[in-house]
Amino acid sequence: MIIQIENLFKVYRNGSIEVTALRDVGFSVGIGEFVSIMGQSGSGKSTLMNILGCLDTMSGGKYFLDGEDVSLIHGKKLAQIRNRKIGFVFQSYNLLPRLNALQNVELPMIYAGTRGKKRRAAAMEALERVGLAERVHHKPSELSGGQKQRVAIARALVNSPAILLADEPTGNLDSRSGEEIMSIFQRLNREGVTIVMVTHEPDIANHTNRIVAFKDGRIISDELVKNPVQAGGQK
Amino acid sequence: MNIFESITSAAHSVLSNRMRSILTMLGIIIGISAVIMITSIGQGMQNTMNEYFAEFGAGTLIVNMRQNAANPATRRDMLTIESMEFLSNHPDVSVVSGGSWSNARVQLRNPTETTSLFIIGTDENYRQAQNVDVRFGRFLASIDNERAAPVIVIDSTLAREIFGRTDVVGETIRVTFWSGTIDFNVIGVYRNADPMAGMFGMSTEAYIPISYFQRLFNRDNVVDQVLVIASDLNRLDETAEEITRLLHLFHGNEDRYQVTTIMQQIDMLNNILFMVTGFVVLVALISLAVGGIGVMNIMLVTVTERTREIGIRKSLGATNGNILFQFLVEAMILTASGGIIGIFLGYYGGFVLGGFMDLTPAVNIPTVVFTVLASSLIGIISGVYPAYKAAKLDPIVALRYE
Repeated sequence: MIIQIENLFKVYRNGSIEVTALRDVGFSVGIGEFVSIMGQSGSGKSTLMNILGCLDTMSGGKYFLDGEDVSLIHGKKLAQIRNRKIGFVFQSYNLLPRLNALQNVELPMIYAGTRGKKRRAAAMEALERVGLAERVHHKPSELSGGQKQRVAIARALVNSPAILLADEPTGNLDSRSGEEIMSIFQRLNREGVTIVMVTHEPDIANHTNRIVAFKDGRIISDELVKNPVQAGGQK
Repeated sequence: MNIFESITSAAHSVLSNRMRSILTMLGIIIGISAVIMITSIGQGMQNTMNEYFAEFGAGTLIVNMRQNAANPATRRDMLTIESMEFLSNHPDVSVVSGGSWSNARVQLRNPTETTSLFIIGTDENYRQAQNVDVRFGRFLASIDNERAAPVIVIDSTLAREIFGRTDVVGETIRVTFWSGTIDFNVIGVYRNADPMAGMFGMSTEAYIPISYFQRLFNRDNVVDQVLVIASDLNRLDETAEEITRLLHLFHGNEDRYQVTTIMQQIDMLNNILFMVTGFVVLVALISLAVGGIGVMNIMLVTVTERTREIGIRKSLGATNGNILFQFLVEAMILTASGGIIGIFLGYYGGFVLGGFMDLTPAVNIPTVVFTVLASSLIGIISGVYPAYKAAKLDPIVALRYE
């Protein structure tokens, strides 16, 4: 298992008001899976995503990532896990506007301590994998939404993480660009990348192999997709 | 993430906000350049002054009478021509001179204009005791004092001011004292080597026979100050003590005379100069501290502006240490480059200012090293809090920041 979660709770406290975002969540993701997490806004899916990405802390329960108990890890070690084991793709791309595509993709490797030519070559390779080899010197402001998201995917992949987490990756894109992103995800998954993706759009979720549905902080269903939609028009 | 990468990345972000960076640096630039400029001018002044005093001959001793309200001097205590003669017989003493002084005004070419003048009544030995550099004519001679002649030795600057030339031996100048106006015959012109001459509105010195001075002011045989050149440079302190003892013996009093060496006088002036320079440097350091606060302020703004960037970097695996270091390096680049620019500006500013003041500024290496360290230290101090604030940001909160 890449991800194993047991009895996960997340409680937000705002003064005297307590909001339970996740209650008693348990599920696991195996190597090579392509899972989508569905639910309406406020269902707790984004909270789960942030916990899976080691960006947020949990209030109770266990989270094993690639065999390690993440709930026991803090500080520098946690930053290393974010760096080496997780590739995160955000809805709003989260590229650094001052850096070009290549430099953005190099960022995780800078923190991993990869240097010089090796780093540059790996960043180039990752950008080629998402079909952006010709636009490596463009700044994010010079790229379309779909291209930005592909840079973000390249950045998420570059350290060969154990898992790729995508939080509404098509949420800011038109349907055609969204379709392109899904086709990249499907190809990466075929190449062996484990992917967990949050979405609220059933059309997008149907591109994945398994759908976990959330409501009010609980899992209400966890089913395999019988015939996943194959995204066409790969670039 | 290695140091070189941190520096290039920080330099990149400093350069991408050029105007703001320059304005932020300005506080540091002004502070550092002021420190460099002031210390180099101060050091330059000290150097010229020391050279000037060194010309005097280190063997000169200055004798003054002490008096204050609790211990008023009587007629008997006053230094006189006779005390000078008494001292000159001692084997430790090679030359004795002395003088009295008064402020006066001298008439310029235009009869309605005058300038101030410092009149010293003295004798022929004064030339040796004070190293007076006579360029035209001659210095006072013993015959001038015997005759109590209205003759005067002036400096070349004054000569040029009155006559438009320097060789004015044989001319007459009109000097006004509080006791009246006298025409003096110019017998000599000397070159004024005093670096402070003309600065701070100080007037130049002119020499007249002491006997004439005493008659002019009804001073009998009294002198304000006695100058002694010691025969043996290695026994200056002993000679000073011996002179004090002799004078007390001659005048039949005690604890009345003070003998200082030129070296002591130099030390005293250096101390004053050091204190003045130190005070002005202190003011400059305050402006440097204000510059540091400016850097801290901008760094805080930068951290707030780049909250999202911090969140992104953290989500990609940046540790708190990475973020802290990144912003610390940025603050240090701001202050260090401000410091370097300030050193250059201060260095050349010192020469420009020195040009106006007619002295050569001396930039000393310890000051430069100090300012480099100071600007880096300011960078660390003003950068550490904003950087700490950045490092402590919760990644999830930072990522949501708009």
